[in-house]
Amino acid sequence: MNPMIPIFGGVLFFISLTVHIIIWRIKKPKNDVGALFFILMILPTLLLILFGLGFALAQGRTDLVFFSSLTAVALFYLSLGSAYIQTYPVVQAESPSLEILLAIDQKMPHGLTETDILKLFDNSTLVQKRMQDLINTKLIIEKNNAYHLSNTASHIIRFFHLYRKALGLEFNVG
Amino acid sequence: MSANPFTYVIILALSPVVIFLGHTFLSRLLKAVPRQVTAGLAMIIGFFPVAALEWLFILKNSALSHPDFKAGMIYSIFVYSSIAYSYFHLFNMSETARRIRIFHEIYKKGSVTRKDIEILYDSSQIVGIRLIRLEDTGQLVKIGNFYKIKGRSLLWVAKIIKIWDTLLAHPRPM
Repeated sequence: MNPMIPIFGGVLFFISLTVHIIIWRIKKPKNDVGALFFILMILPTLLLILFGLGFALAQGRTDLVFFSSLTAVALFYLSLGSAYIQTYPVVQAESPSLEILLAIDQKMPHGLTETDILKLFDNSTLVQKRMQDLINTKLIIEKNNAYHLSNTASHIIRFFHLYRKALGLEFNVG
Repeated sequence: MSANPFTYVIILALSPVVIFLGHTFLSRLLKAVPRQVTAGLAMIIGFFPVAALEWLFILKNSALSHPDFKAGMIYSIFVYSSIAYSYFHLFNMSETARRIRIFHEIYKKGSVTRKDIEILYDSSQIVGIRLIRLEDTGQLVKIGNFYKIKGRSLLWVAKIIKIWDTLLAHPRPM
């Protein structure tokens, strides 16, 4: 493989990541996951298509190896972007497990009791913030003081039911 | 002669299927093992058939010291790791994610009120489940009534996430 493929893929990923950081520092988008998907997946793809077309026209490259290389570059930044998007919710809405570890670490060597840890959390932090995120991203619709699933969320939960069935596991998240 | 980069793309694009099939088999075989450990094992085991396919179709004809061989290795390791990491997060979402739990409850009942969510998902339950999980995975130890840090791996993840959170300038309620 041409060493330029992972290098070019890495550069496109870091350009997208920098754009993400700059935008978030100015103002976090309301539909942040949607914006992140655009910045890490669509934006580098547009840049790659522009580059590919420009290079093909300027150098007369229309061979299969050239277009295969561009596909390999795309797989590189798309896989890195996917890994980042999967991690992002932990940063965006605090993870109770990580918050527990950080809180106990601050009180070492004594540690914390379960009662101390419970004082750090309340339902507004753990559930209501997540509900608001889901409304902002249009996955949940609030109507007549009740929450309903959007079509996208219905497809997501059906996918997870099928997925866990295939793994031979019951649905018991929490 | 360099292999067509598209061969890498095809083999690596198959890797989520390989991991999923391995996971399906392992989750039925290792019922007593914690589910996240089983998913982690599937990620590790899935690497071998993917590496074997790459060796068979691409790398066995390349000289080990050639830059193309090294670039192919680096490319494959980054892409496979990112895909495997994304797969692990996808599974973890079906195990622990609050938003998936909320989707599941709304899907079952058609709609829920804010009160239903609060009753269903109180903070003592969330914290209790996570304390057990952190003890089971060796991150915490309970001595008397006090929880103390035992393992450092997840604590480091928590610290890195906090630094990244600061970089993105998210306000944090805690």
